Amino acid sequence: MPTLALRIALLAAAFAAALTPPVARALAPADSARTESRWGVIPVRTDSNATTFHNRARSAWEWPLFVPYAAINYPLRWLRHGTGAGVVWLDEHNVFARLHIVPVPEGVVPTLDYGSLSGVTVGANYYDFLGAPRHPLRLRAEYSTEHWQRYTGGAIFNRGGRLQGAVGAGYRLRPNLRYYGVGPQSRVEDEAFYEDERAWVGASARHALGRDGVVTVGVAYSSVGARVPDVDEGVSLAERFPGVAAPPGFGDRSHGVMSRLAIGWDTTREEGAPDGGSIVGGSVGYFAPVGDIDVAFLAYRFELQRFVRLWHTGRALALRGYVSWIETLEDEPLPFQRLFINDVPDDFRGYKHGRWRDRGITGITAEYRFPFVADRRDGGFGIDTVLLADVGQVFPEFDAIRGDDLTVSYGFGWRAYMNEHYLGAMLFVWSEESFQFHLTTKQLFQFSKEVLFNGREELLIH
Amino acid sequence: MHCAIACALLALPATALARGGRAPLVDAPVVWHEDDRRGVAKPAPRDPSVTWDYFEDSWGMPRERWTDPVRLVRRAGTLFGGDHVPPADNVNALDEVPNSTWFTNRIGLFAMTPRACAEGPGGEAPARGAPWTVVSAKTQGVTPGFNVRDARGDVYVIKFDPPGYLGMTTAAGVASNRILYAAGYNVPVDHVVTFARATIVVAPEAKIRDATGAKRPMTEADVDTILARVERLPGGTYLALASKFLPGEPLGPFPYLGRRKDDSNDRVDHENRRELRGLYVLAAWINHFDTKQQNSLDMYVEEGGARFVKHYLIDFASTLGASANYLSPRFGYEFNLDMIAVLRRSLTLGLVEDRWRKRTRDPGLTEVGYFDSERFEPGKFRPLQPNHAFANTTDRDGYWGAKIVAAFRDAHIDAIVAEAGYRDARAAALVARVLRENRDAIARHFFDRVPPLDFFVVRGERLVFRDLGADYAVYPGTHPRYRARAAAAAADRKPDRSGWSEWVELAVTELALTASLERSQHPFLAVEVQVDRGSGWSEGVTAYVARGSARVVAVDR
Repeated sequence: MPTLALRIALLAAAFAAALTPPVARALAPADSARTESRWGVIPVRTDSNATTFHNRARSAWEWPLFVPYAAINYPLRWLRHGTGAGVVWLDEHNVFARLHIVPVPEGVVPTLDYGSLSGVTVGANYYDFLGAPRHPLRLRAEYSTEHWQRYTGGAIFNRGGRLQGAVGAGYRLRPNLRYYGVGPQSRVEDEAFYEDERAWVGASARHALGRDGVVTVGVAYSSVGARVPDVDEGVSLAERFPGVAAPPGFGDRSHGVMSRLAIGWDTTREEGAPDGGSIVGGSVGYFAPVGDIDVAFLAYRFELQRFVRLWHTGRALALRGYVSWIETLEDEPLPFQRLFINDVPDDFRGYKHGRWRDRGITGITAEYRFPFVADRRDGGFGIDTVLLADVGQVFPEFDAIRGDDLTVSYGFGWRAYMNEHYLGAMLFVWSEESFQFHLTTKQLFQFSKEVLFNGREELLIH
Repeated sequence: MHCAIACALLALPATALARGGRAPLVDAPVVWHEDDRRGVAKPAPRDPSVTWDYFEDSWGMPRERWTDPVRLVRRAGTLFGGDHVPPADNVNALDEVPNSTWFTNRIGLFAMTPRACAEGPGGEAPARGAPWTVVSAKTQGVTPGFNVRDARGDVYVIKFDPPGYLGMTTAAGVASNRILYAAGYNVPVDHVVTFARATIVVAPEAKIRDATGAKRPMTEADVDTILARVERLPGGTYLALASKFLPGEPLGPFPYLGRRKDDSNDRVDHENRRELRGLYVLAAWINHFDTKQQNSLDMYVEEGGARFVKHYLIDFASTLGASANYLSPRFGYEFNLDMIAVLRRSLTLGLVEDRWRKRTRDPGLTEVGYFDSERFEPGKFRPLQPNHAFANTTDRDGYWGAKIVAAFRDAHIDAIVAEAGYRDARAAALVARVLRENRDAIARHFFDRVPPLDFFVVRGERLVFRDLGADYAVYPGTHPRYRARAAAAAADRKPDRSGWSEWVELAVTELALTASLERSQHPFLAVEVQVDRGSGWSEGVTAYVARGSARVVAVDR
């Protein structure tokens, strides 16, 4: 609009300054108690020039949105605040501080796992006895809601030395282990269950080969029983496979001594989730039967793990391939409880524990890992997201390995770390047969180097 | 589609509220003092749980903020120029923060000499005339410390650097103390001190907490135990930060959300206080990533015959790249639990790198942690855990903070860094350089969002204003042009029927108000000013001049 209508003139300052003489327009009476600021004079505070400020009133348009939201949110907030008040009360009464003085040894590490068969498993690993970081003793105990139990103990001597010795013993009970028949074509419809109980005692010695290599010799006696379960979870093995249809060894115990020679090469430098290096290992074992139902056999294993650093910090591709197989030295059938099943670490994670069983097992696992929360390299807590795929099968003979029988699992999840040590993982994994949820503190890759038998069950690697 | 329309419709009131809803104009002196020093009964001390605060700040309140429909509507309104929250509640008509028990305008509004900035609150370091007497101690945590009484009877907290980083937190603590004081916040009197073991004695009544939390008499051996964990200077003396006990009775930290209900002077929710919202910018500048409420302190003080609560910021060990715990390039760039960052990483499957992961530091400079300007983005600063006031920081709040930051000139920064006492000249140079560069980045960031046309004053017949972008050389190589228009306005700030005048281009940052102004029948004159630095005219800043008193009574941005 035209400026004339406003009776206000605006002129360029230089022009105006030339035309307009300065006018000593006083803003206010002179006051010695004033200070010159960039806004001009700011008076010193007095009771009369101070003003109260208040919260702004909620606008009218907000109420229709706010009221229903408050009706839902406030109870949640009160619940949260109630919880908070409880935490604060505990904090104020030094409960958290006192927790630190409960005489729990520094070396106790609790474990928590979930599996579709085992249910929720709680346990503890106990090491560094009495605060002694080089103490040789190791203990582990686990118990699950489905009454799975595992107790192991042992000692590592001259830990960290070039020649290291270990002795140990263990017991494991799985009251509802599955049996579907033997072979890559066993049918899911034949699901049956039985009770698997095993115990072992053994010793091993390992010697470093250069910087990264290690050779291990070991001997272990083991006893594995397979019997009718006490629990009722549907059709038992005895009902599904009655009489002669039952696998050899069912209802009996297998006893024997496994002597093993293994050689390995480990160039990884991090325990939790390496992003470089590889682990190569192979072993051969001879099983000398002790029990009546057992036969002598040779067990072989080869495994390769490779960790590839990808484009950014903390991004890594973890690859693992493995094959294990048994060559019987007699014509008698092998007790079925000595056959390989898909079990940690050779797990087909989209399938139930023990879904597949045979004299040989092979697989390839790939995990792409990238940071989710913070970065474990902070020296603190971190979580990686994992995208995973497992491909594998059990086989009776090598020439039975073929594409049609390969099992495929794929999924995603998260792996947690503390100070670069693996803490555990939560995984969601699918296969054509089922969906499996895993909450586990067990590693599939890169077993903790300080744990007895490198974190593995002696029996699993035969 | 329906959702988009609904959001747009809902956003309209939010936009209107953001732009409108201002107090009516009055021809009265601008308020420069908040009335919050009235005598009150002593409020109950607070001792919030650090543990619970972490969960509440990281989970509880972010969840509420992201599900609050009013906030979501306002968020949608930002597409139309609104703000995601209502404006701060404790600003005056010039969009400034009046002086209060929280904040005192200093370098932002007044000329401060570099020396005054370096002196900070102005108190003295512990007196040297007699041994310092240890009255209590802290043995837990990464950095131990104790409290000493000096010859004058003043009590100081003596804090040390983490092992391996001698001088890091002490220097950073003092430098940030001076910066925040000059900015206007209440801070303790902090000094870097050195002392020998022989100058420390334990008071007979001194107590110490053991590992169980129980108190027992303190001994000289306890002092030795504490000092054994402390790195020494080459001469065998100890370097520490001495923080003088604040006057009054401690009431615990102030919350960044809500207010003290038992303090009748505390009438504005803290998340809506401009100086706490704007603290985001100061915190970004000095990378003050540990802004949890436990690093604040309310004191019940007596001044002028009245007893009231005064609000302080304390403990600046985690600033300027320093950290009392461990060093991480993430600090200042991502919350400890940052769901946005988590989502970003997850949705991109890790293909996009976090910008902080490429930050580096010179391991030879043990006095400085991760403190750089290469990847600094002022609007993306993140403390360790979300801060309610920071979550409410609008562009106007940020602009307010940025013009304070910009007021620190090179000489101020150099004086403050010199006062901090970095022993390695390279460390001091690095900190000063990064502060200068990040200051300019902050100014550019917020001045781009809110035109830095400010400090409108009527001088004689002229309306004079400042272009902070030009004053502080924020846009080197540009030649700003200004233009203005005017309108008669009523108390509701709306132009009268004649509307705005034509734009008139100005050569400098002032314009003449002719005598015809005085003959107008309208109570106020609205003058809108814009700046063009080569990329087009900015948003306008409107100053309102009262005809009666010829003073600037309000400014709209």
